[in-house]
Amino acid sequence: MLYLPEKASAQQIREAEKARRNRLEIIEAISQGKVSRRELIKWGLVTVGGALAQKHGLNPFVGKAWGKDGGSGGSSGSSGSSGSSGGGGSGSSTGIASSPLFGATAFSQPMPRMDILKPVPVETLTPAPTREANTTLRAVPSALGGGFGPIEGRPPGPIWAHQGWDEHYPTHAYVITTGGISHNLVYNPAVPDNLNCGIDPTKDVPCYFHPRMPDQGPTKLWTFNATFPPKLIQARYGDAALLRHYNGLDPDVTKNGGFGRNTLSTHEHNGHHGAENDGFTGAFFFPGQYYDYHYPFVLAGFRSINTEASDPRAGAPDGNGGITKVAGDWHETMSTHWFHDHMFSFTSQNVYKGVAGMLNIYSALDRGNEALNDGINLRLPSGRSKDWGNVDYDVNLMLADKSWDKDGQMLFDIFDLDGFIGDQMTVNAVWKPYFEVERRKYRFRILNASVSRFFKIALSDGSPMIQIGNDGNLLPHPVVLTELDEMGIAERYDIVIDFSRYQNGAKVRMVNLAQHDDGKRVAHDLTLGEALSGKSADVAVGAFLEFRIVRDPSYPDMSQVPATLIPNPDLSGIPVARERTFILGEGGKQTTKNSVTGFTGPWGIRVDGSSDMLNADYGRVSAMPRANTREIWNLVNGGGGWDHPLHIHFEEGQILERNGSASNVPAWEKGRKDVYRLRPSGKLKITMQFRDWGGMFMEHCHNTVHEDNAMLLRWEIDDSGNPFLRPLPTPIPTPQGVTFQNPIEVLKDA
Amino acid sequence: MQGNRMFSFGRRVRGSLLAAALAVGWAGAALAAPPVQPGAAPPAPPAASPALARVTASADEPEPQSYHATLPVRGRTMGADEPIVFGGLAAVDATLIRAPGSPPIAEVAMDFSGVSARGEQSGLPYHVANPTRLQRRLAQPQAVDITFAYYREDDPLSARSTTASFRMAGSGKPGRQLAVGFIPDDEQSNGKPPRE
Repeated sequence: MLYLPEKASAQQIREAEKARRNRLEIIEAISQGKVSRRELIKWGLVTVGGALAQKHGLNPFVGKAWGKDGGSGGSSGSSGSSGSSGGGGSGSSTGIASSPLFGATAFSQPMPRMDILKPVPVETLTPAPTREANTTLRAVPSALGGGFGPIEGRPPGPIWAHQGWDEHYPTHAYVITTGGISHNLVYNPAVPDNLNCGIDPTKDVPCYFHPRMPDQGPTKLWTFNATFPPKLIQARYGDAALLRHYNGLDPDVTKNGGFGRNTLSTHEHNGHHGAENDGFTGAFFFPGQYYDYHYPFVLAGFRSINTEASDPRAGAPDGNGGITKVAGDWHETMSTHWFHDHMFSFTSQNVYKGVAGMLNIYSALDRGNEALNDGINLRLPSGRSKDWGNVDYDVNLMLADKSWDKDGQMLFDIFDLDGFIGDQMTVNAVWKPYFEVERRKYRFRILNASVSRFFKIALSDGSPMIQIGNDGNLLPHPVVLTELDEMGIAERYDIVIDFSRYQNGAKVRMVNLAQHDDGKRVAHDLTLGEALSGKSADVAVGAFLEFRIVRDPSYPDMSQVPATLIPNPDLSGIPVARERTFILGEGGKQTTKNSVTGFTGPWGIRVDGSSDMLNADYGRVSAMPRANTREIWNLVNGGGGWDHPLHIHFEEGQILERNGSASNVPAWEKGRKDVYRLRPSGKLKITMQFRDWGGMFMEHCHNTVHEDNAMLLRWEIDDSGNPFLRPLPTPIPTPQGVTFQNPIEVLKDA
Repeated sequence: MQGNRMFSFGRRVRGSLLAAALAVGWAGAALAAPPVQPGAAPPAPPAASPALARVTASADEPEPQSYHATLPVRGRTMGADEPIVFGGLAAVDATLIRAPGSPPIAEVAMDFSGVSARGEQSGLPYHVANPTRLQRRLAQPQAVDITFAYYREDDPLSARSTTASFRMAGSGKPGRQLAVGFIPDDEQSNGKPPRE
């Protein structure tokens, strides 16, 4: 195991800290733009495979510097990837010092619910939002080169103008500013205190992981509105909104606490919006700028299916117990999203730093009101006091592993480019909390917001859970499980737990069974007994959230878990226009030489017509599906033992086959998906449509260390005959303005 | 678990192969309910129950190498209102995953769709849910207690859980035997209720 055990010797810890400091110098130099990865390879600090060089004092898997086996070369494999025999137990590797707990004990602090953002009328925004980017000039700080640049960082001109702006003009806006963490004086959990563990929202919310731990410094954690808890947006179909996102980070790129990049791009994962609002990795904006993201919240297919908006299943709560019908396919109704940074090559660091929130979409089917019985509302656990969006019994859980130094300050480490795993579990940004529940059904919207860690979740008494959603989409049918499947990074599992089976005063814990040795993949799924024994070298397994059953329901539980939720859209009658294959693997090669849009790393994606596993270059167009068509995509893990949770932006897909057979698709993957776990050596056949909006999108591994190290590609949809340039010019953002260049490469079979 | 006799199967193969032994048995230990004592007769094994588990493997198969076995199973556990008895065929698929620098692991998927359950007294049918997939490191023989749910048809909220004991082993080294079978009663690792 990578992390040293608590009983590691002082010498081991000293060596580990020394090695870690060396690595952090590298991360800092990269994040502050002082050095490129190409230079690190040239200097021999990083192998061409992307791993840290086999030098003690640098690579934690290498023998310790002065021990009896020092300098023995460690345990890494031929690829430069990490071996799993490392760790303090054997004394054969440097390892990484574990995060100190400062005397904190697990389950001694309440878990805060997410902080719900309050919308404001769009008319109150100054300046008013515009269809094309607002290019009004402002003075650019000297740290960003000085001079003048636009106040909005969105690329200017018609290509990046908001599609459907007049048709879906936003009536309200969410205004957020990303900045260094501070105390929260305006926490809005949107439930009474007794449904939030007694937390008084009028008192300031500190910025620590536990009361015994120190506050995080403002350079260590960057969050939306610069506060804890993580933010939640509640949206409705047909209720177009604007997200005005200000970049409030320090313009000095070196003021980053050693990791993270102060430029931002915000991805509404997996919004069905125009590409200009998708958080394209190369459409980032700078400190002092804002970016207006336009979220129309339309049902996919709204231009071709149910265009008269006559089907009440395609709709949204109207605020008065009824339904506002909208166009589109009700089978495409989505529920649980999240939004996070997507900065090119720095997504892992920025998301780890806290630039992530969640977004619930409410619909005619998924109303957020369990009492409304109109034959359409599925009446999932939620509450009843408001017409829609009740969260009394509908709780978002953002899971993320973290690591911190001896001073308690969060840090980001690299040991190789297989991935980064922290050794401590957080839920909604606090360490191992408890959460009080009533004796009734609850819905939990679980997000894996980690960098590279998978989770496998069970309850400590083995009780069943009912999975109702996967990746934000309600499943066709609920699935009863005692252990959820391994949950890949960025996947969301919606589950229902029925606490009525417990007596008041009882406790049951949520347990992580997935043991990691490194960031490559799950090494070992533990049994409940093993995970709860405390014997695992991976201290992030075991119980991480305690449910305390504290009282009978405040009012009768009227919620249901219907046997049918949302059937998949039937695509069988839509011809397949094209079949493509994407192979994800190591041995990435960079064919372009553009240091702005391209990146050299160990990872890559091979596409049709290319013999190479290509490194990311967001100036390269790798696929160009035609608008209003359906395609089949084969997603293949190129091997090597890694797992890759592949995320395809924009449209939901259906898994047709896993490893060559439809029968290998488990029940919980039979709904619509946006993150596709390939599993080691696995392959998937999926199908998806390309509709409604055009522009440039992406697909990438959501192990964000893989993504940041070049396992990402750009694809784009034309605009169905409208005057879209094709392929689109690539935006090149600078603080003084965004310029464009022609695509550096369009693959011949794109 | 009662009445499962020892079974073993071995087959020499060439080349690089998963050398694994898989065994499945019913622990009969309830998790959400107190365990019950053995005694009631489980349902008769299905007529098609194989005497030997079927294993398919090819030495020439490129990685990942997958192995399939179908195993007869029986068991009894305490349900909410009455004991529940199980019987049928469980399908086990194991895929060997090897990577440089890492110990080999097996990705295991168990399919319980061939297992039926009913209330011992009422005769009411119960749905047996498939457990999730597992990735386990191939090491010395190990007992793996996996939980799974069962519930009245069309009433997932009535679900309760129980444990099946699953034994697997392997080295991942070439030229080893692949074997699949039950473990006898006296060697069986009974499922344990989860601890806190």
